[in-house]
Amino acid sequence: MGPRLRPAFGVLSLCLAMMAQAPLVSADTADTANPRRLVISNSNTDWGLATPYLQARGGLGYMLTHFVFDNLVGQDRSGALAPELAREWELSDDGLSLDIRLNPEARWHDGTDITSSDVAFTFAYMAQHPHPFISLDNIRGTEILSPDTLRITLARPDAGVLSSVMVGMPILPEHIYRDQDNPRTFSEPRAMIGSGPYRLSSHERAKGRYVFSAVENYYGGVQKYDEVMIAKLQPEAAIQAAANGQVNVISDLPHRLVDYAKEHDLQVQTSPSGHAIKLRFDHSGPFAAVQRRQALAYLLDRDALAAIAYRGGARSASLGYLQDNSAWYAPDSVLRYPHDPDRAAALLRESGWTRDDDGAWQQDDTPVTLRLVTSGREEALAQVIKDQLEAFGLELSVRVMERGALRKQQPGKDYDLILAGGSTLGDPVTILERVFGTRWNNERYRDDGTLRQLAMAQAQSLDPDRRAALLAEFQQLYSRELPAIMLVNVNRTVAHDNGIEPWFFDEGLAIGIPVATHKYMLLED
Amino acid sequence: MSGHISPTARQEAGAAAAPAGVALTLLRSLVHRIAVFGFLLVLMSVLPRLLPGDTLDVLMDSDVQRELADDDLHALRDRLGFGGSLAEQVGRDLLRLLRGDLGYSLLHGAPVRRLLAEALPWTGLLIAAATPVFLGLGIMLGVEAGRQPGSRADRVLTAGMSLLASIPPFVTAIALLLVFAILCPVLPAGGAEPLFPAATPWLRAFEIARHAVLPALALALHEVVRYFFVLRGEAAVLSHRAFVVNARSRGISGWRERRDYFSRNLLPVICARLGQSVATLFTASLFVEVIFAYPGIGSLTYQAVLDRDYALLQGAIAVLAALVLSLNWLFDALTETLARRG
Amino acid sequence: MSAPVYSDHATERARPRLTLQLLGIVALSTLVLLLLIATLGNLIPPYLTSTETLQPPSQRHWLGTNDIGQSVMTGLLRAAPVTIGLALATAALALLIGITMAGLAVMFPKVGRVIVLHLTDMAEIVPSILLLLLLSAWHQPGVIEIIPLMALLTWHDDVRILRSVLLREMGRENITLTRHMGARWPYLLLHHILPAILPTLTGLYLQNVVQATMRVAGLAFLGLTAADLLTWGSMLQDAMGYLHTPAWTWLLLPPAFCLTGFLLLLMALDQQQARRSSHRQGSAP
Repeated sequence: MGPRLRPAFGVLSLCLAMMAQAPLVSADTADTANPRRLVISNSNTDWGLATPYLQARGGLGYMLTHFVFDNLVGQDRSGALAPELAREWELSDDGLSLDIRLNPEARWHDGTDITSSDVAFTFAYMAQHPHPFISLDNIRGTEILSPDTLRITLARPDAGVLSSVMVGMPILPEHIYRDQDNPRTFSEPRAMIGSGPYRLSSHERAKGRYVFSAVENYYGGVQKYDEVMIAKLQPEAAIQAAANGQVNVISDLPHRLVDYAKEHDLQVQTSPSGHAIKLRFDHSGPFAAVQRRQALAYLLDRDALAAIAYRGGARSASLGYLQDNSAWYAPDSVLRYPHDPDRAAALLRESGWTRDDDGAWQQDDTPVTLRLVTSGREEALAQVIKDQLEAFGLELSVRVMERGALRKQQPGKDYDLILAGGSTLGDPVTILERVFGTRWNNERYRDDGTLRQLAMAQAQSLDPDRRAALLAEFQQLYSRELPAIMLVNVNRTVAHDNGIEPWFFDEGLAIGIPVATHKYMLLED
Repeated sequence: MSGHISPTARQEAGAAAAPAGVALTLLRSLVHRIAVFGFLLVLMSVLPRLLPGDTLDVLMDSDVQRELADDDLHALRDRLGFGGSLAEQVGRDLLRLLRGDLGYSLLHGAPVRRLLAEALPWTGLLIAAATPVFLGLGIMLGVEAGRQPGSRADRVLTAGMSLLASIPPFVTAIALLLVFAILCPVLPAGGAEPLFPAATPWLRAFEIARHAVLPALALALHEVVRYFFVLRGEAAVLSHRAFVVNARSRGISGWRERRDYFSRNLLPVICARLGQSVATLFTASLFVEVIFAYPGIGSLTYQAVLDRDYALLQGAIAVLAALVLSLNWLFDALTETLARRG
Repeated sequence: MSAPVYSDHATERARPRLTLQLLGIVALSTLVLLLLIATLGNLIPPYLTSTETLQPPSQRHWLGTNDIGQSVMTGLLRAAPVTIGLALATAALALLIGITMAGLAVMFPKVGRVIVLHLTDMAEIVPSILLLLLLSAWHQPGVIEIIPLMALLTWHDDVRILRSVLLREMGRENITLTRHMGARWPYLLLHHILPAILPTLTGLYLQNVVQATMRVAGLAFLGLTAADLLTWGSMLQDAMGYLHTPAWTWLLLPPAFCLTGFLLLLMALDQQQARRSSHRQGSAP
């Protein structure tokens, strides 16, 4: 290096060296000797902060918030409803009012008492600042009866008021959120004052690392761990770290690595997620005819779809909307549609399509070309569907797009078929929105007949036996009319060491989130 | 992605502009850079807004909520700062950036400035570690091959480098990952630090260095090739120049010949090359960071693209563009000065 | 490789015949490729998914199968015309833009030159990866978008060289002479200027192809090209999830070798071409 350039390089390398020093100073030094620490790895980048408005979309974001914010109703080990902030509750006989008694020992993390005024405030606040997972349409109002009791009034009887709203809605501290007009940019530490068993004690974004520490005197039980760390790690690296004892739980093990994880002495648990990948229709296009929807159900070999596109990481789904995770699943009433190309062909002929000499399908002597849109996540599945349809003589053009663009696709104008995942978990009241709603990711079924009446009746039916009967009837009719075809039920897999036993709830966490690393795993029985 | 191998254009431009005066040339190139920067800022503000859907759609993505009424949506948009016409929104963006406010990433729930500040040092570390390697190797091998064009050393080196040059840089990085981290795992496969950093600073620094070896090497290999060919070419020209021939006839050889007669005279070329390297290094570090899951600014930006986190993407691009443009202007200025001094 | 050669190419009168051979190779390979796409497209077996996922190489699938049971061999064959065709087309478009710009700068020495040189300066400093990221976040480019996009990021490499070569050729005695004798520009262009700058054009074209191949492969590797665009780069991306399994040998290596082989071929052609022209000018300075 020449003498003239030396100063310049000196300055440059000094700058770079200083930049390189920065992380050394900023990051805290972890104490590796802590025996009561649990490390959970996740391959995703950043799940936002653990507050209802700063959590990233998706299940893990909700799960982190759930560590910090308790809801009115929680779950026991089996997943059944259990007291949380609400010690007891009582639904009136007409189903229009719900009286709640709060746990008097419950405190906010800053020591303030949790009162019914906080709960009333949360209902009002979330009506104004909607939370994507909670629908408050049916809540007429709240009435504070005493500091510990509250009456919630409903517009209509709602069979799911407990298992969707009460179990899903995080309660906010009024004294903190009262003055916040824009909770989505409210990220001060006090925004994270909740009522749950843990508080977020540090978060390093660049590394995607969260450290939660146990709250003292938690009203709801004793925490098993003083510290819970969630670290971003690629699953391969996480498996190696787990083998070295640095990671205890890998919360999202991809199916392709199950064997690799077992080779490293990890235990693996798998559960169907209840997130079915659905083939939805443009209900005013060629698939307005029910025979064509049924033909597709006969035509698509769902076992092969699961075997190829997921290689054992999914199973073929039930066609009656609800999946076998659900307590309301009625397998005997659902039509099965075994793979049967001849039946499919007969149904298509019945619908008015004809087949030319090469076996290609035509409508009014013009070849049928179906348009399918999907996002990158379902690309492989779309490819297999295309191969199956084209082997049968149905031309399919597939467009893979980014989710934001997919959301804006118009049925009929842009697609005949849309392939995307959708949850079937959560209380079945959600059927009304998911099947008949008009959002892009609803099935947008237009029929006003029996199916809709069944869906409405079960949502308002307060007698569980009657509700089960209605839902069985609904599933049968759904599998006959096929507002959408449920193709595969994708598995979720968690890997862990021997020291901890995470578990999946059959119907998911709270509002139906298929995670095994929930806060109930972190509490002593 | 690979940047260009031909260095002539820039040098020619430098030579042509030299008589016009250093100051004028530098001023002109500064104006160019400001124009390019402005263009990027406007583009990154306009493009995302031409897309269907905005961040609000992403945030409110749900299949159980009833569709919000238009009025509510409007109110929510205004509150989050997504309201107004395209021109208004773009204007607001630019004003905000001019004030030095990089915005707020709703998906991360954090100010963009903080996200970038946490990621930049890691990228800086990689580049700082790679620079001496590629400069040293590039100059050494380039001079070695070029001082006697056609010799055996030249032929072997040139052939080797040609082979290396024909492997896309990200393939080289994958190969390093595969060989040294997976097949014979002597070095960590990803990340910048172990999950639990060691308590003592020295051990911690050692661990950080261990994690940086492969990514920095991948980055350096990518650049070595470029420097090698440029310097070999220049050295080959020098080797025919009278003062070198004279020196050799006076018996000057070995280290002294390489340092005083070749390296020193290659300085302006190296300097000009460094100007271009700023951009290519950031490009290469994006690939390297993605492959090695390194938490630098490249992987942050890449993730922002995948998540369609436009606030973060805008901020990252503004900062990176400003960095790249100003650094390569600095090197241009340095080159210009060196060239004028002769 | 050694680009400096082109700027002062053919100080001696260029002999078109030699370089025509090279250009011929390029043109011929393009033609063969186009033919391949047109006719052989139907002969390459369909790229179908099957239940035989992640199978190692065998008699049935020479290079094994990928994670959705598609034959890697078929994939390579199907990706070849796309990968190579994209690079060739992008390089040609970039050269066309470059030559137009250089032509404008030469024809209009006052305004044209200033505008062109300013534009070139600016295009040179645009951090292309940032622009690509920005554009791909906006819209993942398919074939139709990639070609102009990449060409717009490459053309500036060619302008100055082309301009100086054009200036030199047009200042030559025989051109001025023929011009005085009443020859028209199109005639001059076709019979005098074009043959003279042919070696430069070929060299630049080859370098543009290298550029374009690397860039498209990089973009595809990041998963930022349209999802249905099958290239060697996107096949490499698909392999990344299987580095920890034995499957990398048949998922990663074949596309990597194809890509490297193609680039090596281009560089060898480029060097051969450079050697020829430097050989010709060897005696000159």
